[in-house]
Amino acid sequence: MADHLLLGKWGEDLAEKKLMDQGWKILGRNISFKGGELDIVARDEKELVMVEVRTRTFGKIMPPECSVGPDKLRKLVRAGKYYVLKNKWEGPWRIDLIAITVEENENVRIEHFPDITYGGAY
Amino acid sequence: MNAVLGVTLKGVDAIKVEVEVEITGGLFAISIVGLPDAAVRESKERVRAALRTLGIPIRGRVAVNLAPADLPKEGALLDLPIAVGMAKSTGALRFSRPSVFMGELALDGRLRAVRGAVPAAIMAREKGLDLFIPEDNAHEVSLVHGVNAFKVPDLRSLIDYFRGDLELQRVKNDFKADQQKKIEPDFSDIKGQAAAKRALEIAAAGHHNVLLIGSPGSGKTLLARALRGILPPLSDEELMEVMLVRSTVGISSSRGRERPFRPIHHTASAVAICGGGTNLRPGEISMAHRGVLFLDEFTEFRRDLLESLRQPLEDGEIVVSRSAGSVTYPAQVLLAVACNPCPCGWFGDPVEQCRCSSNDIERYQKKLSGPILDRIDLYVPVPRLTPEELLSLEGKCGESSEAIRERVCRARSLQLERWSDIGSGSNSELPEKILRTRLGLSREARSFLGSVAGTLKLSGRGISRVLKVSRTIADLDSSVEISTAHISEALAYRQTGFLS
Amino acid sequence: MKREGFALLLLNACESLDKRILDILKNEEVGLDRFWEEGPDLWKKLPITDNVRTRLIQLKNDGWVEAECERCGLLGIKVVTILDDLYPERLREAPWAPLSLYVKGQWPLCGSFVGVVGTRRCSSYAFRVAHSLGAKLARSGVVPVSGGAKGIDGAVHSGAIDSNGPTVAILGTGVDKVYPRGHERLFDNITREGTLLSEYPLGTGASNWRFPKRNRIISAISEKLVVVEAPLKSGAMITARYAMELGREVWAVPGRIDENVARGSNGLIYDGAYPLVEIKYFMDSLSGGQLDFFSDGNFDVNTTGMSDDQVRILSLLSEKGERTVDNIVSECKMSAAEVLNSLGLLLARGDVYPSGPGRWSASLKSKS
Repeated sequence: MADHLLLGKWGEDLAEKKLMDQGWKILGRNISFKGGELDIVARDEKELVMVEVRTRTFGKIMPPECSVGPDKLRKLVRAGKYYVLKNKWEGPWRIDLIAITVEENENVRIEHFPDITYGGAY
Repeated sequence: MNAVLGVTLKGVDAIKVEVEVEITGGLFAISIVGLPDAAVRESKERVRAALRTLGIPIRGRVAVNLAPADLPKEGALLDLPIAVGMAKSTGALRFSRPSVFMGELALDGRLRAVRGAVPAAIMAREKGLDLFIPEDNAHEVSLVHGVNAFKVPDLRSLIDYFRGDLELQRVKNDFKADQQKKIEPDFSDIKGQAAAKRALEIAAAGHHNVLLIGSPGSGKTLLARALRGILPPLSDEELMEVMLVRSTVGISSSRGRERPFRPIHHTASAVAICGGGTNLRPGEISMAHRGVLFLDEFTEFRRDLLESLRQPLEDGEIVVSRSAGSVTYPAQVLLAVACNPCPCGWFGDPVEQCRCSSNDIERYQKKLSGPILDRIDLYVPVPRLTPEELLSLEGKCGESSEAIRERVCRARSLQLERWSDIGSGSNSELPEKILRTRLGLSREARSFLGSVAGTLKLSGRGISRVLKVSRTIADLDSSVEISTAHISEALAYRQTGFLS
Repeated sequence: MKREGFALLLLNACESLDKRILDILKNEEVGLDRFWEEGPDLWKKLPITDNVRTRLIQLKNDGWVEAECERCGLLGIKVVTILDDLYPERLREAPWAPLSLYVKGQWPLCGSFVGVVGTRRCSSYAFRVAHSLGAKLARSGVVPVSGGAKGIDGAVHSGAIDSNGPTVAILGTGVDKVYPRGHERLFDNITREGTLLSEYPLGTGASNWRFPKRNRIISAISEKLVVVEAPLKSGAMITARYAMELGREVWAVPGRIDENVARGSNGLIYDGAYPLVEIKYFMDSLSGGQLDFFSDGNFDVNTTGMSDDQVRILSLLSEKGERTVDNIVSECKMSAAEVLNSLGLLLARGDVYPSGPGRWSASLKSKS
């Protein structure tokens, strides 16, 4: 496996662990559809949450949370809709972002951004 | 189930708007239907942010319906009912009495003042509804008697109130019109101009429209401004009407019982004067309701502007028709008009030389006729006093506005009493039929008028104008009969050309 | 009307004929009676142009003269022929005197005639001067004569009317027509004390070439002529030229030298016309200066039925001239309301008039 994919996998594991610690129920990992992929699908109480995980090592120009542009968001929304439809989910759902940065001194910073579409029309 | 109610304005009336909210599953989105304008559509951002700060997160797909569906809704005043509607459908609050909410939300949940609080209060009173208003609107609402209104500082207190954790302050009906302040300029500040002052006193007493003609610098504008100071203070009912218009425009402060004075410039647009615009608003003529509307440089006004003023002057209200619907605003004004005697302004001035040809002047004076001038009862020439004349008046200051106002009030109350059965408050509004029969013209005055009508070539309209004005002069005299002297004074205020 | 009169009216209707035709008829030893009686047969032998002859025949066959007389009767218009006693003497002396005049209003008028003319497009200064000239002349029993046009002419007439005096408007149209438009009321007022006068048959409309001809009559009928304001090319200058030819005294009101509007009248002063620097001087020159019309404050107004206040105001205005209400209030020690009701009454009686915005002047009545 290439380095960057390994890093991605490592990040997702980290994120999953954090969510489980928060008491969320993990429903799936790396669920892929034709149009895109959902890194983690979880339940936050009554709400279904699609989580996108971004992992970066220090030194990249952009922080991880900035690397999700409108195109990526649209893809996520489309994938989320597929998932909701397939699993006959009728409650509210949202898309979260977990940004993981490996800093110079090997420190790992995890940030959670809930509801990144925020009512936008995607 | 109690519907959440808001209001939207139609003219100076508040129309009840029912806010229905449905939240279903899905990715978060808010859609508002029911002809919202841009301000209402944007309210979703404010509402969600405000609710979130309060710890009421909104999830899923939110549909907001504003009923009735065919009435255009406008303004930020629907923020609060939408927020309450959402909070209610998430189960965050419940209430038992039908209530009307109004207010614009800040992102942190504070409430900002909105326009239309007075109309909303009147509507709430009529329908027996509770009213929740922003704190800043409380002053104007305190004017409306018998409404059950609550001051809401922010969204959190409102929710706490419904949960029973907090009492909201009721709006008390303690509207106190501030003590009438001294209105500047005072009549005693104006040197000379005895004739114009007297004419304005008559105008104020009988609600006669007035035209001031004079050279630049003669003091026309000053006199017109002072006119407000001698009008009787607003009655409770009139104050209510004035506040209704002010509230509709979004001015919540009050000037007490002082009558409005609205000067309009000739470059103003028809919309600014008559009201209208994409989201209908009252214009200057409605802002001057129960007060003075002042048109300076009258001859510069475009013909279509003057045309559009004619109907409101006749009816005392203005109907504005737009694609968004037609609304009626009140427009009972005392019209004061000022203009120069000729294009350059110096005609008849003893010092400055007029450079206008007589053709210019003739053309100019032709402009001084037409629909608006027909409604003017008093023509008041305002001479520009020469330095010598001013000096000769040094040390003599005339009566104060207050002394004149007292006479005006007395004359007004005489009129109110006399015309109470025909529903007219002033001499200027008298119908023709009454003029001929109930004026109290003395025998000598009648024959005097008959004899001069021929030599002065008075038209039918001219005669009724003289009669109305002389009735007011008699009222100022507290005289039951109109005497010859009253008539002859009225004759001095007719339109008289200086050229022909 | 006598046959003589019919003949003159008929000849006058040809427009191109004037007093000189009478000499021609005399040379041919044809009396006016005979001229009217014998008609076309006689006219063939007279030395007149074919055009005139055809016109005469046509009018005679149409019965125009009789119809015209009837029309005049209906409208209250008098016809004054050159042989009439009432024909203005000065005009009769002119070599081109018109054969008959149409007169609407009061006729004859006593008092000497003074022509006051000027441009139609006048400055308001000139308008005021013309107005007060008209008023002061009329008040002193002189009859101001002008052309009934807009501008100066109108000011002169209305000045005379404001002081309730007679004035004569000499028109370039028939006296039953109103030209220019907008002077309907003015013409009406003129006929109250004064006269509308024209040499043109009823119904004659306005055309350019008739107005200079009308100016000739103004210059001939007047004892003196005042040009108030006139550019170089104007009807007023034509009038002035005729007046000089006839030996009339010409006065001109000095105007600004940097403006075209007064270039003609100023030029007259340079050419020897009297400069009218004070109305009083001009008045003094009238009738040999024998009458002092302007003994200030010594005028005679009918004050019967006036209150003391009104008399006080009126005498203040006539002694000291134009006043604002403020002045009257302080000088007569009355309230504004009292002053205004007195002014209203005086205005109704025609004793005062508003002479500017907020300013009042006495209009002294002519001796009636």
